[in-house]
Amino acid sequence: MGRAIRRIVPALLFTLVAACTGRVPMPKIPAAKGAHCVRPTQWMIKNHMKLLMQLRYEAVHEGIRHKAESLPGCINCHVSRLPDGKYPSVTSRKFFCNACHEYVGVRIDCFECHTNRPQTDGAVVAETGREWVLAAGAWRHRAAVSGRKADAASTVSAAQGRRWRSPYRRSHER
Amino acid sequence: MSDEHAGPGGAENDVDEGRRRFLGAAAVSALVLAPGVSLIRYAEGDERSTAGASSKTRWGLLIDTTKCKPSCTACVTACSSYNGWKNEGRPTDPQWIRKVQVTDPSTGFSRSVPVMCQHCANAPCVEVCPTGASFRRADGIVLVDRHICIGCRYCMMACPYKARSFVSENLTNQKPWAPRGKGTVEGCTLCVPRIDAGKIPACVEACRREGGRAMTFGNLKDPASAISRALAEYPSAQLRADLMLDTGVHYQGL
Repeated sequence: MGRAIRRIVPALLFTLVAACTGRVPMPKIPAAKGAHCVRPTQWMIKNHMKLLMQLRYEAVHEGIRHKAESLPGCINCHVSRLPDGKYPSVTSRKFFCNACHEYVGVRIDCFECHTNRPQTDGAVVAETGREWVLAAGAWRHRAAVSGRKADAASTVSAAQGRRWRSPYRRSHER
Repeated sequence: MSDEHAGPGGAENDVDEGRRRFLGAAAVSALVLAPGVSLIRYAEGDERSTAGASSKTRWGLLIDTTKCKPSCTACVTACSSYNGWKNEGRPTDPQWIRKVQVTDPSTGFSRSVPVMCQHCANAPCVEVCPTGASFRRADGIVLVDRHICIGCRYCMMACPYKARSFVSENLTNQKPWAPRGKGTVEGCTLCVPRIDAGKIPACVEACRREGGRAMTFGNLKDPASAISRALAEYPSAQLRADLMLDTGVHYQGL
């Protein structure tokens, strides 16, 4: 009995101390090469998976390929060589996607098929993102807010992400 | 506490007209929104995205076997290097395109022909696929959506041309435009990223450059295209035409 307590108490104490002193460290997100993302960062944190699913359906099934928005485009901007000259492995926290995905415990299998390295043949993203500002309930390109050159692609609202449904689901319901 | 809130009396059974109207409107808008909201909004004809596959097009290939030399493997090499697959001779190695020597045993007539996915109009691989991963695009290209492929290999058994192969090992360093991975089936895509970008398949380009200029690529639905004119002018055949799959790949001189 006494021996058991002597074993359990330090374990409990350790758990208590660990819980009080600090939690799992927040992910350190590797910096991207471009100045702005194709969508507002706050929107992307919530909705990137929806955007990727939409892009994937359009590219594979409909042949619609967006020059600025594609998984290789994301990789081109978000993956850089480490100081030792190598690219981070998909399972390391230095890999952009995995920095958060390991933290939240969500396993992704994108990189079992897709390459985790930027394109090296000189083909780079034609257009990177522009600066986004929150105005009148939606994210807009700064240029669109100041009255110059507004187009449909320059507005992103939270509702757009909420109302989105998988195109696969839609094609099955048809 | 204010008296505005209805207590547990008779008031709670009264129909709240405003609430009913609100719920009705919500149900209607849910129905309207059911198709989902697109997250990518470009105007039609915007240069920032490709137009997409159209049923006004049917991509096809014409292979003139009289110009195809048995020693030449330019198309196979080009496909392999563009799409990043390697065939090292093992039985399970991928073969998106291969050279086949066909011989008529009664006469000894022999020809070397490249065989790849024939991009059938009535593709058996599409019919047998249990998940919808094997599908035919609007422009006639038969593809595997590897995101929903479960690797059952029914399509490999259904295909009379042995055009599909299965990836059984982990892969790394795939081409950014040609993702491939373990547990999924793959085959000739007719170099779909190139076609979407307005280019011709890698095999056709290599055949023009290094081979015998035996391959013609084009739109079978356009009577003015080089492939349609050649098909109208010279005799050609589909492989296993008796199966009535209406292949997109045609052969001359067989």
